[in-house]
Amino acid sequence: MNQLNSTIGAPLVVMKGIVKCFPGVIALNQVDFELLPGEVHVLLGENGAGKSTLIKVLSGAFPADSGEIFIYGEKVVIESPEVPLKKGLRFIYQELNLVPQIDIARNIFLGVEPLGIRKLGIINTSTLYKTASQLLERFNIQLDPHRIVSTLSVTQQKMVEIARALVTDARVIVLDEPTDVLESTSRNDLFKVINHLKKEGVGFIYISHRYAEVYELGDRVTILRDGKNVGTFSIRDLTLETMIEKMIGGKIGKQYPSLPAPQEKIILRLENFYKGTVVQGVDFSLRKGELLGITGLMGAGKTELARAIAGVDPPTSGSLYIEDEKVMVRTPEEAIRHGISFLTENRKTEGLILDQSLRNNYGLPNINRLSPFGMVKIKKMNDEIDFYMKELTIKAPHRFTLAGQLSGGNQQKLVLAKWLGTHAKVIIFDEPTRGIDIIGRREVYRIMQELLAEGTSILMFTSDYAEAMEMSHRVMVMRRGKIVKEFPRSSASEDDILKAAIGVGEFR
Amino acid sequence: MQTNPNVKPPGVGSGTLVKNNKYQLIFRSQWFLLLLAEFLIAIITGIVNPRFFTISNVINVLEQIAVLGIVSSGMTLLIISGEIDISVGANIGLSSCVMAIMIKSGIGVFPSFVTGIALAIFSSFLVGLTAHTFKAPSFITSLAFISVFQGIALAITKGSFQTIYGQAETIGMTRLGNVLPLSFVISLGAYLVVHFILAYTKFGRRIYSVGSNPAAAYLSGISVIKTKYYAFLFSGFFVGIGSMVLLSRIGAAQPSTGSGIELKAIGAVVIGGTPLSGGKGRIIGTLLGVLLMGIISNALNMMRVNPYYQQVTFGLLIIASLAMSIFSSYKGHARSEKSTKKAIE
Repeated sequence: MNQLNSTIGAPLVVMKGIVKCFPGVIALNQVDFELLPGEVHVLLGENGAGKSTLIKVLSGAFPADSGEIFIYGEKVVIESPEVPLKKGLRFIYQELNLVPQIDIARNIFLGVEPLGIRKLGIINTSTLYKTASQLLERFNIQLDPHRIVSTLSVTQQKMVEIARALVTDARVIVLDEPTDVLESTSRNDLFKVINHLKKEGVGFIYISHRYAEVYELGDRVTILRDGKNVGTFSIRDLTLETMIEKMIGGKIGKQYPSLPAPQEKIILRLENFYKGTVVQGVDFSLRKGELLGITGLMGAGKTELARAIAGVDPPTSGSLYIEDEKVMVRTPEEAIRHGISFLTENRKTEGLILDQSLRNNYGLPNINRLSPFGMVKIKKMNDEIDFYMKELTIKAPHRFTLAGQLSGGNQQKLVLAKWLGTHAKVIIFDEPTRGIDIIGRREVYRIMQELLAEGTSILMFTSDYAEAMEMSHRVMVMRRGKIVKEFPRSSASEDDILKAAIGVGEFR
Repeated sequence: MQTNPNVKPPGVGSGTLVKNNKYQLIFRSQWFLLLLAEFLIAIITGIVNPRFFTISNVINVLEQIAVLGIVSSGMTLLIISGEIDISVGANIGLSSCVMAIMIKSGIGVFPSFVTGIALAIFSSFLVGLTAHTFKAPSFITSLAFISVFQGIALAITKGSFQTIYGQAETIGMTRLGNVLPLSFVISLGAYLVVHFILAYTKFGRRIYSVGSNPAAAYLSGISVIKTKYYAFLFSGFFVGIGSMVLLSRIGAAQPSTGSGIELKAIGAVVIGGTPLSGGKGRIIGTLLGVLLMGIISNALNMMRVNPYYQQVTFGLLIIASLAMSIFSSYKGHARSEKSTKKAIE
């Protein structure tokens, strides 16, 4: 970090000996953390390592059990979220927190609107828009402050959110997986803004699972494991391998497993699939035991295609053949009947019922099979979920544990368990490893490998190009609702996929 | 994350705790508190007015809560599925008037009851159908249907009493072994049926799923709409049975028969621990909620409280139960925060 002259100065935030216990676990155990002005300090760790707990302690979401926090060298007790906000700390979470129906300027000034004369609660609109456009200009965000937020892309919304964080002099910005919803092309815009602010002495705490980003953007990294601080390192001194080893506390093996060869028989075939204007004539066939990866930019029509095949949002036209028999799939119910399972990308909102038990979640798609004559065979259901909990190593104390209490990786495994029970011929995964740490990913891949070996076919929709390339027998790239390119496994680089996804001519 | 043997975990969260906490869970559960409240009220009333504990009074209470219990059973299904029907009172009014008119005009008791029950099922279905078709909350469509049902009942009765004294008393007046009112036994049957549905059938599991997270249920191949329609049909069926019992006991019907029961039924369900947001709940809670309503009503009568104030009491009771369910869901948080604050100081 000493290579950067902007990082010289007293630390903005110092956290010393932070301890936080939850019932039965120590989430943070004597964690030290320090943020200097003008640095991007990355927080790394697996899910449950304590990253978000540390951030929440700093944000005032809950107090630490012990430890001291200094902001600008001054000791503070953070008893509510207002304390860090008043000090100039800003928190930007993974989810977007804008009001979509109103324009950019009003969003930026939400709650801190400049008032007109005599402060009668009347907003001074000319100042509002003038200040907003100045602010956007300062960060090279080329947007008209009059635009309604819902018409913006996700990246642009994220930028607006950062602009909002800066409207009242921010000196520390905490970004929790900001790029998880962004495409790779637009990430650069965000990074530009961050680099610009770094020069002004703003400090960033940055949480991300994407290692490439960590190297591109970060100055220092603090690695957490099991609630303990493993150490703070200068990122340039750390290879990716040692970084991951420190994170998981052991040697890493191969990230992607080998895939068993697919069989000859064609299981699923799509002909001329259309969905509105988003999916424009897709044809492909999927063989038994084959994993077909489909990737592309956001808005290329991946999710729409997945949902059309699964009957969630049925296609406008086109035919679907299962084992050479033409079938109609207009609801998920019919899809399941024809042996198609769909694992949604929205695990928490659409995949699971978080306030119900593991067993009841397992029962969701299996209840028909488990209830001859409408009566649930409870013992059989219990046996099955117990079996899958063991088989997929779902870490939960009991089958009656609530799904919401599981970690991200275990939730994804529960979603898998629930669909494995249906013994589908084709399983559609939409973003199977989004928000899942490195260990969880590997287990998901291992399960995929076993499924393929058993003759199940998999359609994997993903925006992670490395995953698409290394985990599929074939990768198809979508652009503007069409399949534009196909690569066999490991035959192309992430760059090649990106080129195909954007369209080579437009590539810079 | 690491497990710390020194930290005493207060809530559910780890496997070995499930057993140790069983008693604690019972003590903390809403239905246990309800039972306690009921005993307390009964004892106090008994001291003030010893007549409270006479057999005839107890029978009286059981008889009075029979219809409420039947309607509340159906309402429990509906509320767990994430829907609501506030037109059940008007539905009772219409179907009992139709039953009474038919019996009066000489059509047999049995076909009259069957027709009335079918009508109640149909009426309830209409509430669900309109809610789904016009993408409106069932709270609103059922509010509108109160007016529809009452209007039709007024039109066909021309506003007059339909008396059928002595023609269909068996269900309402029979007392098994000269003690136990048949109507109460029927309401017990309703609780049992709903318990059976919720605990052991596919339909029951689906009701919880669609009430809790309709998106996840739909993607899992559950037809959310169909499940909700079934919930309305069942609720309508219980409303029909309730109308039959009520008509048989009173021996007369008018358009306003049953009005006001919707508030009591929804209240009983909520007091019983089923949240209005759906997805959770048990029939034992509803049973005790209904019992609480009956006991309080009777106790107020025994203590000669002005009937107008009784109405106030019921309203406040429902508010109190809402507060209680909110309080119990925050209790866990509050406790952990308190302990952490102590640690800081």
